[in-house]
Amino acid sequence: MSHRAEANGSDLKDFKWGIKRGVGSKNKSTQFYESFVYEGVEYCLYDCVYFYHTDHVETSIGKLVKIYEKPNNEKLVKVVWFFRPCELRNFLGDYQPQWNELFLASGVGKGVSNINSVESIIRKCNVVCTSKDRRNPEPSKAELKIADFFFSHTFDAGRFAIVGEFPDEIDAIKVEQFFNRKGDKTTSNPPCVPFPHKKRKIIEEKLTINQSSKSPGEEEFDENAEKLRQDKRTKTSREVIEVTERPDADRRNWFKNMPWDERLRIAEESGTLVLLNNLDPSYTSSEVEDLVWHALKEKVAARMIEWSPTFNKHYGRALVIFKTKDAAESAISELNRRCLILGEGRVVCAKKGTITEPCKQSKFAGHLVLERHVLQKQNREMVELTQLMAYLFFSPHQGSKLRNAVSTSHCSQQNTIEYAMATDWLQLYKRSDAWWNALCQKQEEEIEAARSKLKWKGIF
Amino acid sequence: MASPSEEKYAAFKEKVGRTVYFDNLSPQVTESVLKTALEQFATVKSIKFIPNYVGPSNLPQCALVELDSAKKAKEVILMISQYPFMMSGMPRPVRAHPAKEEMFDDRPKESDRKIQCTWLDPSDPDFEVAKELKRLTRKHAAEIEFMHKLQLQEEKKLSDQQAETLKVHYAKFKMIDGIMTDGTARLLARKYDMRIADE
Repeated sequence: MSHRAEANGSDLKDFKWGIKRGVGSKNKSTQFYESFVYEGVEYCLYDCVYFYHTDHVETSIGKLVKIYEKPNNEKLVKVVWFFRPCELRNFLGDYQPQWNELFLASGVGKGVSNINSVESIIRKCNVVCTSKDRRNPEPSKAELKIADFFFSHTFDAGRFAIVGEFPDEIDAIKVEQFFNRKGDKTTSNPPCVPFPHKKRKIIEEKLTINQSSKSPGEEEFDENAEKLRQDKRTKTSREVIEVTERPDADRRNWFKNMPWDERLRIAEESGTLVLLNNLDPSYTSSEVEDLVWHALKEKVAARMIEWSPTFNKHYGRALVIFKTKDAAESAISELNRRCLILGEGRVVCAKKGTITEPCKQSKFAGHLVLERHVLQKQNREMVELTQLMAYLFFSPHQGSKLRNAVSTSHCSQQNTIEYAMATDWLQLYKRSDAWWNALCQKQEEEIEAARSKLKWKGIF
Repeated sequence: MASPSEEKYAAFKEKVGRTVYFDNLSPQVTESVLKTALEQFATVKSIKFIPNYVGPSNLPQCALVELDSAKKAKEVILMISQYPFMMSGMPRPVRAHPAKEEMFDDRPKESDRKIQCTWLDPSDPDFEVAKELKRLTRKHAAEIEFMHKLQLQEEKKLSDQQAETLKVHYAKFKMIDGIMTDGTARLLARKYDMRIADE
């Protein structure tokens, strides 16, 4: 069966077996138990627990389905795993998981269950099933509230698919054991002990069993979904994603007819709008859509923000519309939690998208003539002022003729007050250019300094 | 032989060369105002106002104006940089720049460009640096936002100052107008034996 490292059984401190359940059918000296007490916490069969991993900050969550002691005193648990959405991101398809959602492993395939040392348990985890399956006792609102995670779907590790219906058995355990327990108290309120990080690493052999009989499909599954958890031999889990055209690229023109203004506003209201920053400014909107598809497995509509001289040209930004609010939120949290790094060391930033209200102000700083429209009606003096402005702004000889020309476009002439004032503005523009340049230069230097600290260069 | 996408990109680049980017436009400026203003110099083929989706709400408008030739585009930019050019108000002039590819949200893809990306997990040796880069991006965005605020303040300051100047001019004008109409000027002229023109 397992060829795990030895010497992890007998010397466990703070450990006590609970009720005996029976002996092994093949090996009579293997003793099965219903529970045990470890580090002051009682763990029972079918409890959900966190498991510790070396190399990964993220813990794994699984359900204890067998508890036993081998003749050599090794204390072991058999675990059926829950997958986190990020581990399945290549298989989610249209499914929009929530941030606290898990997927119960099912079917026949790698990663459904394996055997681990009791030592790698961190603490209990409260996982509630929200499936509408009639065999599943519906959780109360209070139970849902205190739950760490919930699941309503399984992930079939044989078919690599998310499935809504629950099979009768998972890994030869009756499915009822995976649903909520009736009147159950043991899983609620697990003691909140901080994660001890001195834990031994686990499940070294989890996937090495049956390695010889790996089919190509399993290979792919292994890489994409299980990498985070199992593959200790690869040092990092970096996987360079080639961004190619999204499969349905030609279909995305479907709703192009609706103007962006409207689409963005609707998206903002429904919370599906995300602003991505630090993209390559030369990306096109469709390339951003492809990027999001490959990185997050989400079909989105993207619109690059046009660069303007009053912005750092290093930063490309795009407004992205997700299909649902949950998808948008989980994209933001995923981009915050982990780092999506693009070529030339750009790390994508995401935040909730908001749209600037169009401001149809009548006043424009620097346009003195505009006041005329507002005040003309009531105030005769202002009419005189308008005449004066026409008089002052144009050369005196043209005054009366051009009175009506104040609001049309023209080049100003040198012998007018208008020209003198316009020159002030041109000066301000020059200063503005100077301060934007200075800001961009400073920012550029800061980016360079931070980037030079990247240990890993040129994988792309 | 150029592929269709290469051709499309080349056509787009040619269009960019013919396009002038205008900023510091008053919110009163419409497509027809721009068109009328520029038709005196060149044929306007298309006009596109760049929507302000994420900037401060009171930023001036910007627009891309596609002209009939790159030569005309250069001429217009030169002329506007030499003479202050007023559109829908004064004395704040508009500004013209050559358009850049990144100013078009609907630009086509460069055909042979490859994009690659990868996820860094918290266990990655570069994760902290990557996080630092994210933090820097946020900081820079805040700096840019603040700079916009400062710029708008500066503009307001100059505008207020000019309004004040104009008021002073108006007071002078009124005074002159006053002494002309109530006969003071004529009286004084007679007294000092001077001739004044009637108009």
